[in-house]
Amino acid sequence: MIDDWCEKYRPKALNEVVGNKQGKERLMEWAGAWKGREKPQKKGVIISGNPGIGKTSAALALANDMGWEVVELNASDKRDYESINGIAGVGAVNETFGIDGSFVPKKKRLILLDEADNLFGREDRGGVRAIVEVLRKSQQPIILVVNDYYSLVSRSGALRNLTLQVDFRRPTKRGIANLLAKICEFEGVEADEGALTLLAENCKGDIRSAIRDLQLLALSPKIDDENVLSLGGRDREEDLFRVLAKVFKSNTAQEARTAFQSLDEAPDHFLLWIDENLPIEYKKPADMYRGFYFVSRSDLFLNRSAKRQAYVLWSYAIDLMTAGVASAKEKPYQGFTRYRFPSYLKKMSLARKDRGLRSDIVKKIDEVWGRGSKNLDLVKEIAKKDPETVARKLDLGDEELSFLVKG
Amino acid sequence: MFRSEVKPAVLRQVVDTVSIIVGEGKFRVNQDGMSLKSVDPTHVAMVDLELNRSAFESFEADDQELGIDIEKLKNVLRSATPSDVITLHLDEESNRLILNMGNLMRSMSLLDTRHMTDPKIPDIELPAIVVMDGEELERGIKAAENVSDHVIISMDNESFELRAEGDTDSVDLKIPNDLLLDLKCDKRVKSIFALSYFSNMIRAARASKVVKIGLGVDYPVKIEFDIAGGKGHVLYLLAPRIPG
Repeated sequence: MIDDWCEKYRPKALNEVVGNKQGKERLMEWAGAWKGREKPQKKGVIISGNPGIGKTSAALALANDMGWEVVELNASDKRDYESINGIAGVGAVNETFGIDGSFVPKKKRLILLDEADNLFGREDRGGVRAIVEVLRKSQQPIILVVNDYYSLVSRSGALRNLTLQVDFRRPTKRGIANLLAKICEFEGVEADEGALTLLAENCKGDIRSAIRDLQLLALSPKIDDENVLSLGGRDREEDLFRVLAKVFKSNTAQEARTAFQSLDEAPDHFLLWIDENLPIEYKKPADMYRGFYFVSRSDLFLNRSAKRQAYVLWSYAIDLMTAGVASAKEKPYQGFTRYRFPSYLKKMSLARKDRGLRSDIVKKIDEVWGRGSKNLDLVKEIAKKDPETVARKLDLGDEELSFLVKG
Repeated sequence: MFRSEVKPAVLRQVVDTVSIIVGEGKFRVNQDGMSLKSVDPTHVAMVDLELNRSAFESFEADDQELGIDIEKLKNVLRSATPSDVITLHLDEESNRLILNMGNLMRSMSLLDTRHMTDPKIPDIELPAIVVMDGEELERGIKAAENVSDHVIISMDNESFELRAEGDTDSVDLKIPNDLLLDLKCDKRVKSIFALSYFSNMIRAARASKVVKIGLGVDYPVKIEFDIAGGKGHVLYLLAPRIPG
């Protein structure tokens, strides 16, 4: 099997991580505070920044420097309430065994939630709530790694208060080129200095993709400018917020369309973002009117494409939601706009939570009195009059009780 | 080569004791029988299971490892009746485990054991050891689950005690020395454990009437009991909560 160089050359110590001097200092300071008798005030850190710039590497290297074991929740793990609480929550308050048969009391362990912003949107089943709970009760240091700090903390004010923010920037191309040169030396790969600089420049700060490209190029006998250019420029994923800004602020249809193409997002999902944020950006009524005309036309095409299973219609829908919306304004609005998460998705996830609560309650009624769903309305009425007795008899949680009483 | 016949009840005990720790098990089989050592994904709990070949109706095995999806095995057992005898054998060509009960045949692909951890069970000396009836303990745990998510277990040479403290309510189960089967306790010991794990372990101990518990001060607990009518043995280790 071929080694993945990204794993093989993952930094072992924090000072081997390329760039981000300030960020690394903040991490060291925070980690140092865990050595004291008292736990630091903020038990969690959110490292934010673009993909591939060394956020996860920094977290793992820090743990290595501190002699902490790592409990890791990866992007591929399930991200609902139970899974997060079951792994991170358990790791946060309990001692653990070493795989080598050791047991060392009071050993520190880092709880690492990689790609923590993936908890959101349609897949969030109490994931945020679980993280907040874990941060509150944890006896152990926690690091959340995210691409977008803002989209994470906007979901929960508590998250912002419970954590320290460390922002990672793109490292300089010089730093990356140096790293690439070191890897070449180690692997015995011959490479032009200029070619490595070009590779570092093309990756736009994404070390991971630079190393991947390097590993690919290393198959040829010598790396020079020519075979670096043969890779072509890498299309970097732009994040949602930047694409939204491009669509709303661009002057040309072309710019708005290409911005969307660089985004890895389904059009129906992206339309929800446009729909939510259009009235925030377009303040003139006429602009808003024309903008929503294109949103509704786009929605029509999306619906048709789904109904007829004719995804070729997506291209019309996409043109309307990007180029159409971009052309709806008289002239671009100046200044920074704070975009919001689609409220439709938020409501949907709340409704799902309600359904979950309802079925839990019905199960409990069924166990105690039988005829669960048929008795639900009756129990609701009783709960309104005497919530304490009902809660005790059914062993209800606070959330379940308030659901019963309000509904 | 692996071929054996086993009663569903025995296999069920194996599945029940292992499934609370891991979803995928690396079972070692050899001429002495079957064994498994596993640690849960959070490294908070461990299981060490041994099943002597005499627990099986018949048993033949070369020394090898079988990676088994415990959830699947659980499902297979749902379709078994108590009078069945399940035949298990390894089809080496397809790397599948074939289970036969009556006219029903179920084959399941084995998991790659190379990626499964091989934990060493820590050799822990504990100052206090109690042997008791598991049923009484289960009663205490059931009550405790209503008030908290962790339990405080303590022992001195007079009694064994299980406490749970919630925000407003508490539960206390105190068993005096004369109602315990055995109690050896040099000094007063106390540790706190996650109830979710502890209660699952005690419930798994239903397989035997008697359970042996070793305890220390803010130290892991050892829970031991027999399965398969004394022809198998289970040891659980559970790390304590971090004090403070």
